[in-house]
Amino acid sequence: MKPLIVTGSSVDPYLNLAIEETLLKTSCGRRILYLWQNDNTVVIGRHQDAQAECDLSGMEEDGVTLAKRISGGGAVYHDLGNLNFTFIAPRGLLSVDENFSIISEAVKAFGIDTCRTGNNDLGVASTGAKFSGSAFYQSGPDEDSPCFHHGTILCSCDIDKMVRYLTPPAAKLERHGVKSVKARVCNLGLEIGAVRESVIKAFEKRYGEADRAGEEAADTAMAEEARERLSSQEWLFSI
Amino acid sequence: MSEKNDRLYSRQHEWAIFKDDGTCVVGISDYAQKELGNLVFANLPEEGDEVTADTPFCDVESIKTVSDVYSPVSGKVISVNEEVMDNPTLINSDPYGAWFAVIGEITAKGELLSAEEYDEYVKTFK
Repeated sequence: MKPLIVTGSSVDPYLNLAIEETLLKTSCGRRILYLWQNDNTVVIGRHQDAQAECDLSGMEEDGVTLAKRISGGGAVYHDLGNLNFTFIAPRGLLSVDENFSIISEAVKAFGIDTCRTGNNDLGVASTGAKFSGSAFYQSGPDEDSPCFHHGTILCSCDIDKMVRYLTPPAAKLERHGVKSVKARVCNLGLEIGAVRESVIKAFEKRYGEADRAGEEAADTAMAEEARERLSSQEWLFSI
Repeated sequence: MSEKNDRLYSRQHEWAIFKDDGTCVVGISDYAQKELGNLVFANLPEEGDEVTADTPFCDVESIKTVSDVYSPVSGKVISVNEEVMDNPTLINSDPYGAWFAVIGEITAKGELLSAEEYDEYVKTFK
């Protein structure tokens, strides 16, 4: 079976996370790449406490959506200057190193060399500043359990906002901490559409020609059920 | 043989001890904790939760990933190991002691393997 590339058009984080989950659950061994964007959203990790990780009142004032993903890791800020990727495959076929090399190759096409920073991040080789962070979910520990590796690619994201919303009020006094976040992350300064095409090209180079679809590739009823759950107060504020 | 003989195992790598009082104690196998790596969070079920055999009933997060944990039986959660919630690294250091939950009112069992069968099953992944 050919791999599948799904390009989302919705910028609603709850729907996008629901589509991602639905694609995973219905993947049946197929390799899928899902590319998507959330507008003005803070996404926290599955076991994070929203109150402790972000400035909820500031977000409310500015109309920023809070979402929580099913994977682990820390809080991130998404806007239309960021492109999200999700690699879906059975556990035995999902290689984090391979995924990172696809993203690196896609970025290299614009003349930017990358490096791994920490376990799950990619940085710009010349400065070490991080432009991509990743998180992981597996539905089970077996070779054929569907899994995903998803992450961000910062192209022209509003980093001031990122710092503002990802800093809980109690930490605002520690100015040094805020400064160091700004020094550690960076935008690639590339156009989103061009990066999306480049990721698709690198993916197909690795796995062969893929079928293309929009987000309607995800079962609508399942996605709607997942969207309801993922946008519920119970999910967002349970730890 | 590395697995303990006093319990049964699921293909999703949970272990289950069936007690004389009709309850079942559940945890994850040594193989599972090794595959996951250092655990940082155990999101265990709540007392009173209804669980279904071979269906996710809680999840754990390691430095690598979030992973669902499947219930080996259908029934009702009657107690949860708070110590493991407070200190999930216990799952790494003592996977066969660090139980997750006790399930009672069991109405169905999933397919479970003996220690010997599970050992053979795990070998197929290595």
